Amino acid sequence: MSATYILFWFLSALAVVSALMVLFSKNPVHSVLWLIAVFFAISGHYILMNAQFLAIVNIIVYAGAIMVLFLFVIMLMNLNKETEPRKNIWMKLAGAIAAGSLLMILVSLVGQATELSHRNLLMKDGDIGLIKNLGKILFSQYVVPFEITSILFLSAMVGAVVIGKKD
Amino acid sequence: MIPVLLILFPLVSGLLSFFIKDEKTAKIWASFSSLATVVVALIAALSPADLSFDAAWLPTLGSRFSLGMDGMSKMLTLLTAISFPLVFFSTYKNSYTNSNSFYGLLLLTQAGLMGVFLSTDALLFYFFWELALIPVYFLCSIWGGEKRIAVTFKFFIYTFIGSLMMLAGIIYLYTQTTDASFALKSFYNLHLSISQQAVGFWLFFVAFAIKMPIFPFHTWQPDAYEQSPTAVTMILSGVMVKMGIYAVIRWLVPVFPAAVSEYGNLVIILSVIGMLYASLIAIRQDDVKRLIAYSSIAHIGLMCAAIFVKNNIGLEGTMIQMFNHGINVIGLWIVADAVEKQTGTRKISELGGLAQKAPTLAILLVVMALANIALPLTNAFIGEFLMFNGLFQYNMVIAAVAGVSIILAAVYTLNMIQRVFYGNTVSLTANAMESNGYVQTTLIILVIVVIALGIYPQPLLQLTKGVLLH
Amino acid sequence: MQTNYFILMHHELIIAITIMLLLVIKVGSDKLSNQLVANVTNGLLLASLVLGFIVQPEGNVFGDMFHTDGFALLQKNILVAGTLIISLQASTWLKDYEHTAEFYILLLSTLLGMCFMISSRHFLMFYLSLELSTIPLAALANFDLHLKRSSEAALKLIISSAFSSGLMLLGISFLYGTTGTLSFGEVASAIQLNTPLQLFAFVLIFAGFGFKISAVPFHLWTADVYEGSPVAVTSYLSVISKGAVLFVFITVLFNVFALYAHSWYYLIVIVSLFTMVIGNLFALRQTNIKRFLAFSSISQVGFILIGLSGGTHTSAASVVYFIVVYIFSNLGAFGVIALVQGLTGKENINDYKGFYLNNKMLSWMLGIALFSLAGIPPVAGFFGKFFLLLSGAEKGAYWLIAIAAINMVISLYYYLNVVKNIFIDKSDTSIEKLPIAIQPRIAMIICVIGVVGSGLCGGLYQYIFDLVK
Repeated sequence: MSATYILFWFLSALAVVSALMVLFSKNPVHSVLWLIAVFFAISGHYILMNAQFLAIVNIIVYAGAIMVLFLFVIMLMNLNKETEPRKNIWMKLAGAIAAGSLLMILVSLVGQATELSHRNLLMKDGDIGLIKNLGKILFSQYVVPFEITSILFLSAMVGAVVIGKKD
Repeated sequence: MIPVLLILFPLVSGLLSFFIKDEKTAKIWASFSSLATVVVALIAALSPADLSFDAAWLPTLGSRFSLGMDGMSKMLTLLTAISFPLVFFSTYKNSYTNSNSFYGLLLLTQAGLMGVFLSTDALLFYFFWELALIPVYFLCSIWGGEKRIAVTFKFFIYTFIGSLMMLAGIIYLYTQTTDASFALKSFYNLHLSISQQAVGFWLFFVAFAIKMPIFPFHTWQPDAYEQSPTAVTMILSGVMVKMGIYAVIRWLVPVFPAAVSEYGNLVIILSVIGMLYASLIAIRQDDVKRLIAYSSIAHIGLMCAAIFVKNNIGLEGTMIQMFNHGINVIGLWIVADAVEKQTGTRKISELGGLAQKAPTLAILLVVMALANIALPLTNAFIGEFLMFNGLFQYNMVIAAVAGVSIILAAVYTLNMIQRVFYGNTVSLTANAMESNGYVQTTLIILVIVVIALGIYPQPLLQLTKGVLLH
Repeated sequence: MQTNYFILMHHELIIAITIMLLLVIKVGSDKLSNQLVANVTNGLLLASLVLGFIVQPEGNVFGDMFHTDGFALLQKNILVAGTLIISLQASTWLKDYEHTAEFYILLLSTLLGMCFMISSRHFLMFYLSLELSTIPLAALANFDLHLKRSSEAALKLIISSAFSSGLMLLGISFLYGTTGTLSFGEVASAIQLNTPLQLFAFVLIFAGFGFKISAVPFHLWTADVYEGSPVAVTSYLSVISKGAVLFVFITVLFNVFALYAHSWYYLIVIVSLFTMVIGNLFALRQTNIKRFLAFSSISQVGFILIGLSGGTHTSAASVVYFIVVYIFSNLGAFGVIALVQGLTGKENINDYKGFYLNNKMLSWMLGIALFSLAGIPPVAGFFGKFFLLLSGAEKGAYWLIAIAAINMVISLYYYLNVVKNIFIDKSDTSIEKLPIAIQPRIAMIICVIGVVGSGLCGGLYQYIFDLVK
């Protein structure tokens, strides 16, 4: 077992456990902190896949900026108490059964997916995730989607300004 | 081109009628345009050859705008054309709020009816079948009696269920045709197995049976007739129910011959049960309108039975009876309306002695009533005679049972005349007068038609002869 | 300089230019005439529409990212025309609204997203344009700024659309994982039968689509969002955005997952049955006319799915035709509702009692639209439904047709109930005569002509059918 494998399993376990903790912690602030742990674990995965740029961006944007905003909001709104309303037990049960079935299907499908068995992630070739290559491909092959994203951000901003200004 | 004109005239004049502001102009406009339609229908009826029209409509689907006019279509378009001006004249003195819409909707109904009697393409047929229905919904529910809304709702939903079954049937047949076509000819050329025919037969039959109506699909009818404004009731019972009978002759019997042999007996029995049942109820009715409604169910039952005996005599009787029943029942409604106008009630028990006050009306009613019980020398006699003849050839027992309804018809019709027009006047009839000139003129025209066709039915027989040979 | 780009993408370019123009105008001037903004936008939309019918190029640009042909152009034209009608109808509401320019910027961004979505031949492109066509809509749903229910609608829309995007994205990533490509054409040829993971990916993508077109069981967001949003947004959601997703759905089903035809046939049939029945049953008991139309539009989607189940050119043509008819009919109904709500604030079905007394033209418009939605001849809705049923019957599922027919009866019941309220019932507090401004009037005339004309003129269906080939 190489170091990569060990790292992979460790990061995966960390991601799953942290994600579960996000759900199960009673205090919203703790949830947010666990979420940051999830992002770090995922970033670790990105690095394993040689997607260095993505990993850094993920940490800076998600774990850094967005989660800090989350924390601010939660603290400003004074949500750090256990104020979550009680949900109907049947709803919980139904949700658990549905999600459990989905998980079961997913696991069994991936397990028997023959088309995946001989596919390895490209890890030897180290420069695929570099900014230079990413930028090249983003502005040649994927230029239209890139521009669409920019319009999407623009319109989201316009919408946010209108809604935010309402009072 | 003439078939197209028959649809176009009422359609265009109906649409234009909505833009007329003044009530009187609307009436005159409706009357004149319907008279123009009569002229076209007469030209069509007198032309010796079959007329047809064909144009592309939805070529990818195999549906064409094709109209055809054989003897039966000629007769029924003539009936449709004649009945509208008669209705307009007889109700000329009636006043309606928003009369422009009222007449516009009536004319649109006429366009739909014409289309039903003319189309030789299933999709087009369905289109007009519904087109005739929608204006009636508005007519009944806006200008009808007190309980109009619930009754019309029932009527509309009922017939719509039937229509959709027919639509499903049409789609089914379409997928079975070899040339992917909605044409009547392609439907005639289908080679379906017995079970396939059975499915199609019932899908179509229920739609037609609701329209006619045949027992046990008749429950919408007496209420709808009672609650509709009289002009609409006349159209409903005079012309609209003929859609069902016509459709059976044109679209059902030739398309599903095996299923017709298989289930014909059942249909005949249902029809005969309906005849007796409706006649018995008619005897007990106190309301003139409901009485006529039930009597109409009985007559329709006979016509339907006579189609399914599958011999030419019965079929011929049905065809000419379609025309005659239309004329007679319109006459009866006019009288019923006149009585209600004069006395303010439709209850037979509250009336009496009208003949002393309105002798002309009484005479005209008696002629109409005699035609309703198909006495010789009236137009209905020849038709009923032929139908019973056909029924007799098919099965004596059934014919005998059906024959009872003639006696019952005499009982309730004469009873009605007796109690409404003869005897002593009562408080409600004390101040009654003759009805106005429009009503009388219309009735006189109808009586002339009744007697003329009773003595000399040759023109009608001639018209339908061509259809029988096929 | 390749002029090719400009010609092939002319819809998208005009819309994008309009967005930028509006942005510049808004930023540059303080006192902005709403009328001016609306007129500029409408003019440019009209120009785009006219251009769309005249210039009909065909080809690919940017690899397989962007593809256009006659069929795609037709779909874009339909959407642009629908947006134009909505914009005209909304003018009563927008006249005194303080954020007209923003409204148009967001509306046109979604339209841009839809145009790109129709032209996309690549899952990444498709996903991004789908997002572009939904996220601004959530902001638009909140444009009744002082109303709490409007915020609720926006929140529900954004959460449900995020969830559905998540499902779809998971599906797309599975697809990528198993085929190694995201291009529609390559995915279609790389897909194999009997590969459970690909099938699962398809199911996930299907669920994502289900959310967007609010098919049962993915419909739960619909009613609240429709009720809470401003009427213009509701009509946009129920007609344009649904139509656009359905257009792409046709491509994805018929081209990308053509190999799975036998599997998705049953999936679609079952979903369509539930959609029709549940949409109808809920529509029966609504008292708010917007909620009512929301549920009725759910059941309409059920009918559309019947048409889709055919899986042939005919069914693609019938679906597109139905969407055209549906745009005219539903926008006709929403136009009247928008007017009534904008001027009186009333939006219960009971408020429409005696409506005919004072508002003849509006009543006829609404009546014709409802009859068309119910699928009764002679209006176009009948032909739309008829073609759908016909293409559904091609696979011999007659029982499906029978159930659809029963549902048509149920739907007739509730449509007729509204018609009855308008035309027949009397009320002491019936709505006064409403003034109709010129723009809604034009929109209404277009809708009436569309509802009546597109049925009777068989050429339209023929036109669509030829383009599908």
